[in-house]
Formats: sequence, C-alpha cells, structure tokens
Amino acid sequence: MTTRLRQIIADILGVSPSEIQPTSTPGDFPQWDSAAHIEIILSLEAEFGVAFTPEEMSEALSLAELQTTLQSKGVPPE
Amino acid sequence: MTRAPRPRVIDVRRSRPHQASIGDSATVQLVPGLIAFLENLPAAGFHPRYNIPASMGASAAAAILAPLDRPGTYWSGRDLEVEWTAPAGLTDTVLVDATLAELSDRLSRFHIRGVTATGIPLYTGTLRMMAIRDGVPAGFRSKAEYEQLRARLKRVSIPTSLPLGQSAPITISSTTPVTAQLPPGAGLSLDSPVTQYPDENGQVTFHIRADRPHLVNLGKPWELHLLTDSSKQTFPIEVPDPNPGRIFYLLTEDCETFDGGPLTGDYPSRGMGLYGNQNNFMDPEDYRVQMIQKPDRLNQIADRHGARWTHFYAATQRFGAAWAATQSSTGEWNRIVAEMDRCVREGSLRHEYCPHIHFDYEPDSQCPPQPRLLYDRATDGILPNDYYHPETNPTHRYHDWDGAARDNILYLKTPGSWATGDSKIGSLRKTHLHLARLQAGRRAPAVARTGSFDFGKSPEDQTISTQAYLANGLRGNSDSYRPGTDPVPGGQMFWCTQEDRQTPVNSLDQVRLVQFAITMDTFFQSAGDMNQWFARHWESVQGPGVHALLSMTHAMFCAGTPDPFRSLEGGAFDQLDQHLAWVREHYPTVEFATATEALLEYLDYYTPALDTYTEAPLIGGNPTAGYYEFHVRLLGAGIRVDDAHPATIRIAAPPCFSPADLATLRVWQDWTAIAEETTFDDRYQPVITVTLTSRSPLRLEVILRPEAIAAALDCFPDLAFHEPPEPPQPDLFCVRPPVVEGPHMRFYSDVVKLLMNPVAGHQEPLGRRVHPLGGLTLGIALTAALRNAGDAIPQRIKLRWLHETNLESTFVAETAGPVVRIRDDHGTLVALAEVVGQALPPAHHTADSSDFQSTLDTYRSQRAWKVMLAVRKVYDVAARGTWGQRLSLIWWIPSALLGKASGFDDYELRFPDFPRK
Repeated sequence: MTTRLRQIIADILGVSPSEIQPTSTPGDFPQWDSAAHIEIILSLEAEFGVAFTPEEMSEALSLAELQTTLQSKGVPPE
Repeated sequence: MTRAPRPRVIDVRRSRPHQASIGDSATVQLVPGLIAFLENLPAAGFHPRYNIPASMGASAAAAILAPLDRPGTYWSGRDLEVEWTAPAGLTDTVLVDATLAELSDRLSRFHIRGVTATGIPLYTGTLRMMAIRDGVPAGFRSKAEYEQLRARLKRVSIPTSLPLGQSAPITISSTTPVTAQLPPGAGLSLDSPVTQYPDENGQVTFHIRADRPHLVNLGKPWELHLLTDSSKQTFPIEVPDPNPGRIFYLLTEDCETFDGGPLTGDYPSRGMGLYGNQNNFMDPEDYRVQMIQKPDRLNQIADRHGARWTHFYAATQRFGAAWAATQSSTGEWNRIVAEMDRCVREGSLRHEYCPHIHFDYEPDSQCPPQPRLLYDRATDGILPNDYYHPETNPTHRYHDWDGAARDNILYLKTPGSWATGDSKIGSLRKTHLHLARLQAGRRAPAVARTGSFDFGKSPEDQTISTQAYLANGLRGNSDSYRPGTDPVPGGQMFWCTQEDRQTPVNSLDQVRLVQFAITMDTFFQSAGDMNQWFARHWESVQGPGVHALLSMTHAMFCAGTPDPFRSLEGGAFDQLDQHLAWVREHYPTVEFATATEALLEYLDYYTPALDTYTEAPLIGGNPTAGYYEFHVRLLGAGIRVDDAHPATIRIAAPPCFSPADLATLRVWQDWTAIAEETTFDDRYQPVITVTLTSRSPLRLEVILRPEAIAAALDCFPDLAFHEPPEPPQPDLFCVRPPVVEGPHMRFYSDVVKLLMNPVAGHQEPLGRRVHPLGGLTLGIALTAALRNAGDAIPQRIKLRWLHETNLESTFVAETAGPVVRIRDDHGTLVALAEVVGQALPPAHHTADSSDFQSTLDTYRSQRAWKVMLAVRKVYDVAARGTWGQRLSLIWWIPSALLGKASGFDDYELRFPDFPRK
C-alpha cells in the first residue's frame, strides 16, 4: 500500500516518489493545495475502494497519516 | 490600422454528437491583431507571442467540454505544460487544437498544439483543467468541507505582506491579554481593539489594515509588535504599492549676480569665462542682466515646454539694491528694485522663487566687518565689505550664512528667532517673507538653498540650520551638492539626517528635512550632455513612489551669443531649449515641477505623520476688510483619520503674513469652526493646532489687524478666488513593466486588466478566449525565469495554478534556478512554474531576420520572382482548378505579362518567422 500511496501522491504533485517521505506534509510541497489534496483523497478512494469522512480528509495531512487512515479502513500495509 | 479580431472556434470534432468523449478535438483560430497590439505595448512581462497561443488552448478545451456545462459549474486551468518551437509572428494567423485525453467529473486533460495558418508549428503541450462547482473544486461534498481543509492547509497564518488598503487577521496563541503596537509611520492601522483577550481556544486575533506602502518606511517592511506581560512578538509586513510612481524634473538656478573683474574674481584672466561687466562692483547693469533679464529669458524658454524653474533667489541682493538706492543719486537703483520685484511677481505665475541666502549682502546685519556694503560712486555699484578675501575667499565663491564654507569665519551660528536678524532663523525669515509677499496668492515656497551650500559643516551647526528651516515652515533643502556623481537610487529627493544633509535617514524618527541632491551643475553649454545625464539618471527613478531629477545652473552664467554676458539668444539659451524639447519628446511621463510642488508630493507620500501645507491661492474671504481664506492641504496619503484614529496637526499661517499682522487664525472643516487662535508671538511662526477626526477639506481663515490691511492688499494685486484643485486620482490607463527588487521581480496586472475588460464600447473583454488570468502567471514565469538567462527564449514551461488571481494585487516572482514561485500581496502562492529557456546564438535572429526580410523583399520585387509565381499559379489552376478558374487564366495571363496582374498572394512562398526575444 505504501508504494502505491507514495506513487499516487507523487503523480498528483508532479514530483518523484522518492521525494515523498512518511513525514511529508502539504507544508513541504507548495503544490499540495486543497485541490491537490482532494485529488489525492479521491484517487485513494478509487484505488483502494474506501471512503474518507470529511474529518479524516482534513486530518490526514501526511503520508503517514494517510497510511494510518487507510489501514483503519482495512487496507493492508505492504 | 490596429485591430484585435476575436478568436473563433472554427471546428469541434466529436465521436458522439453533443457529448464530450476521449479523442474529441477542437480548433480555435486567432487572426493577426491582438498579439501585435500587445507586443507593441510598452510593457515587458507578458510575452504575448508565446503566451497568447498557449493560453488559447483553454478555449479549445472549453469548446470540447461545452456539453458538460451546467449552471454553477465551470472548468478552471490547473496545470499547463508547453514546449515551444517558435513564437507566433505578428502577422501570423494562429490555430490552436485541443484533444481530450482524459475526463472525469473533476478533471480533464488535453493535448494541445499551436501552429500558424501556414503550417509552422508553434508548440505542443498538455493542459489539465479542474471542475469548479458552486465555487468549490469538484469532489468536495460541501463548501464547509472545502473551507475546513483550506484552513488547515493555509500556509500564511501571519501574513508577511498585505495589499494596500486591505485588511487581514493576525492570530496568535496566548493565555493573557495581548496589546498591538503599531509601527511609526502610520502604515498599518487596526480594525480591532488595541488590546484583545484570548478566546476559548486560547487565541487572539487582530485585524490589521494596510494604509500606506512600506516604501514610506524607507523601503523596509512595517513592523507590528504584539505584546503580552512577558513577551513581545514582531511581525514584519510588506505593503507593496501597486500604483505607478511619479517622476518630477526640476530646473533650478541660483539667482544672483557676478562681476568677474580683477577685484571680484578676475575670471577672464584665469580663463573662466566672460561673466559680468568686470568693473569690480555689482552695478545696475549686472543686476539687470543677471537677476532680471536672464531669469526672465529662462522662464520664457521653459514656458514653451511646460517646464518650471525654481529660482533660488538671493533676496539679500535685493535688500542691497534698496540700500544702494539710498546711496546713489542716479535713480537707477530704484528702477532696479522695481524691476526685480516685478520679475518675481510675474514669474511666479508659473515658476517659483525660493530663499537663497547671500548673507554678505544683508545691509542690516550687525556682523563684522562694518559697514556691510560699500558703495562706489564711479560705477554706481555696490559690493559686500567682506566679499573678497585673498585667503578665505579668493574666488568670491563664498557668500556665507553659517560661515562654515570659509573656515575660521564666525557667522550666523545661533538659531535665534523670527525677531533676530543676525540669526539663522531670523535671516531665513527675512528672505522668506520678502519672497512670500511678492508671490502671495500664487506660491508659498517651502524649499530653500543656502548660498555657497553654506548649511554648516559640524553636526551641531547643521542641526541648528535644520531647526532654522523648520522654524520657517521650510521642509525642503537643496544643499546636497554632488555634481558629476552617479545616479542616486530612487532619485535626487530623500530624507536627510539633521546632522548631515548628505546622509539619508535610516529610521523614521530621524525625519526632518527633505533634501534635493544636485548631481548636474550646468551652464547649458551642451544639450547633448544634458540629455545624456538625464537618460542615465532616468533608470534610477523608476518604480512606485515620488522621485525627482534635478539640475542646477546660474542664470548669470547662461551665456548667449555673441556677448556671453548680455546676449539673451543663442548659446546656452538654445541648448536649454533643445534639451527641454528632447525631454518632452522622449519622456512624456515626466512631470515638470517647481521644487515646492515636488516637495509636497514627496511629503504627501512619505511623511511619517499627518502634516499640512497652507496653499497660497485665495479661496475666499474679503481682503479689503482683512479677511483671507486659504485651503489647507493634508499631507500623508493613506494615513487613517477617523473617530477611532484622531490626528493632531499644526496649520501655519501663510508666510506672507507676520505675527504682528494677525488678529485671528480660524480653522474650518465641514462648515464648522474647529479651532481658533488669537495670540501670536513675533518670534515664532504663527500656527494653530487642531485635532482631526476626518479628512474633510480644511480652510484656514486669516483675520488681519486693521493696521495690516492696506499692506496686505498690496501683496494680493490679483484678487481672484481659486477653488482648490481636485485631489489626484489614479491613472485612467497605465501599463507598467516589471520592477527588479533585489533577487525578485514585481509584476503588475496592468496588461491583464486591459484584457479582462471591454474597450472602445464593445461588449466583451479585449482578452476574450485568450484567458488572461492564466496568461498573467505564464508571462510572469517566463519573464522571471529568463531574466538571468541573458539572450534566451522560452523553450518549455510546466505551470501549476494554485490560487485565484486578485488583480488588485501585485505579484512577486521568486526564482531559484528554473523554478519560479509567484506570490500575491498576501504572500499567497498563486502559481508554481518550471521554465527552461534556450540560449540564442550571438547577434542572432533580429539582425538575421532583418537581413533576410530585406533580401526577400528585393527578390519579390524582381521580374524573375513574379514569373516563378505566375508559373506556380498557372500550373496549380490548370491542374486543380475548376473550369471557370481555367477560363479566367485566358484574361489573366496577358495582363500578368504586362505587369498589371495581381493575385500572386496565394502563391507566395511562406517562410518561418524567426524566434525573437
């Protein structure tokens, strides 16, 4: 899951996957704005077949937090 | 002809009618006009030849997406990637195709491509658009959800920048009350209480309004301090000025006499020119030529060009002339005195006469040596007793005020008062009063220049001189003498320290006098030299704010031909005429002004505290009964004045009135008398102090004592009443180039504002279908990235739009290698770009294409070329034309052979347009 998650975020932000660290947050990438974030969330929902609540969407603002939220919805880690 | 035809969607190709499907494509066509129009605007930073074709891709995309249009929904640009192969030529028809490659209910992606109608490829690229529904990117379930996320992602919790005139909240965490401390300079104000208590979340929020550009704060960000019992937090806040600057050109001269005889400088034998009649005394002829005729002549020449002279006028010489009239029996000095006064009265309709003190001519001084003036019956001339000294004043250049110009001479060192003539304040007052009376109703000078730049040397002496100026209501000084020096950044007007007139202040609490530096001291011997100086200094005065270029001369040294002393034609007068015509032609935006006019605009912009200036023209009253009314101008644009922000100001009586003349000063605002003063001290400038709670117009009523009425009427021969001029308003139209600010560039939205609005009575914006909002950041990114790349042209760009564009803001581009970050005045990141440029070979295409075009034109005019085109046409029509077209050749061929036929255009060879920077 982590690899796919990293790839999705990297694709949407237009950066290399290696630049996405577990602690990466929107503060690290100026292009990670609200539109990019909704793109990330919707891509994850489509990719993993889950649904984020509004609270989860606005709380999960790093790779690690997104990973935790996906795990809490039953998406297995790699 | 200039025209801007609208871009047209000329084809939409769909696999399923009335639906948007992958693979659908559209073509938008732009015929020549708009690109050429924008290219010819005097503003860099938009790159229309690259920008417009790329921006048209969004119109082609929108045409494909049209079937998906719903109320409350639109598509907004998100990402753009373009690789250019050539810019559009000014005469090219541009065709832009978009092909839908990806589509969801939130996002769409297109391949875009631009070509000219002749088939020259311009670019290929990708455009991504996102759907916006009810103002929110599609995908959010509600606006609240979107706002919640936005708040979490907001990177600017404390703004580092604010747009002028706008407010923003500043929130900090605190468990105790917080007090805001605003910076000096009135740049920021509060829309919330000064002291705030923490809310339930332990947060305190202040609402800060940006009232004045941070240029007022000497170019440094305003500093807001938030204080608690135990801490102090400081927040620097920039307030960029989005308005264009004003540039004034000041012509100044020292109006005085020179003799040049053996005992008065002996200039001819030293090869220093023929000035004066060289009889060792200042006689009526010296006065008439040098203080009357030549200044009048300079005024006449300036009037032809709308220029303004500031004559720094040695009124002490006028006092000396009056003294001479008491010694002479010729009657000539009485005529000189009358002519001098007439010259100032008439000249001050359009020009200005400011104090310039040659204290050696002051007949009433008690300073040694005595008597102050010598009279020579043989020449009917006068000379100051200490005019010449073989050691301390061998070239007669020193006229003394402070005395520092000549070491070891003790002159006017004490500040004194209006009532003490042999003091700095009193001597200035005497000259100022004389000139103010002659210019009453027209001008109230607020600038002076001491003779021989004798403002003082030591910090103590200069501080006293500064006090003397301020005690006389003089706010400007022109004693910073730097001839031949490099341009001064920002121009020749600056706040100087009171201890050293050459040194700019470094904090607002040091602000006292505005200094006018002199970098050009000229006798107008060469218009070309003047033009060169002006052009070199012009670049230093660009950007917002108030700037001045200032030249200095002496009317007495302006030499005509054939007689350099007496002639009023030819020579310097012609050179001045030519120079002013050149400035007017080449720099139409420069404003000619007197020193006081420029000073007032400077003070209005930069004064750190609200100030006033009592304007000279009468606006009402009944002068024959001793009642005068004057408009009081508030200085300090943007300074907030209301019930919550009261301001205490001082209003001075016009300098043409003495304290002993006055019975009452009364200030009116909104038809209410808000202050009155009836006690005046002969030693001090009469002022009245008022606390304002609004910026409504102010009137000063001056009521004279009965014994002063007749003398005052003599000062106001023209009893017309003038309504105050309208306050300045923003330009109706302007287009500005970007400004380099250290490592960054600042851009204005002028071109985009032009494109976003209809012009000339049309219904639709000029930039219809070329998407100027997206083009703004595209142009900024290209300009900023390529600025340091030298001779380069755009090759590739990857651009992401991140925030809506506020056209009232300016935009700062921060460049790091190929990456460009574009922020608005809130500090918000509006777009992020990566740009790759392509270096051009040296002496590249501009010259090449010019040569090529010239050669091509020659070929095209030659018979062989036309024969070739005729053969092309005949072959084409014969092979592919209709029978009707073939028959028409029967008539066309004979006329072509006779050189009369046209119709070659369709068969002309097309060549690619070379890239041009």
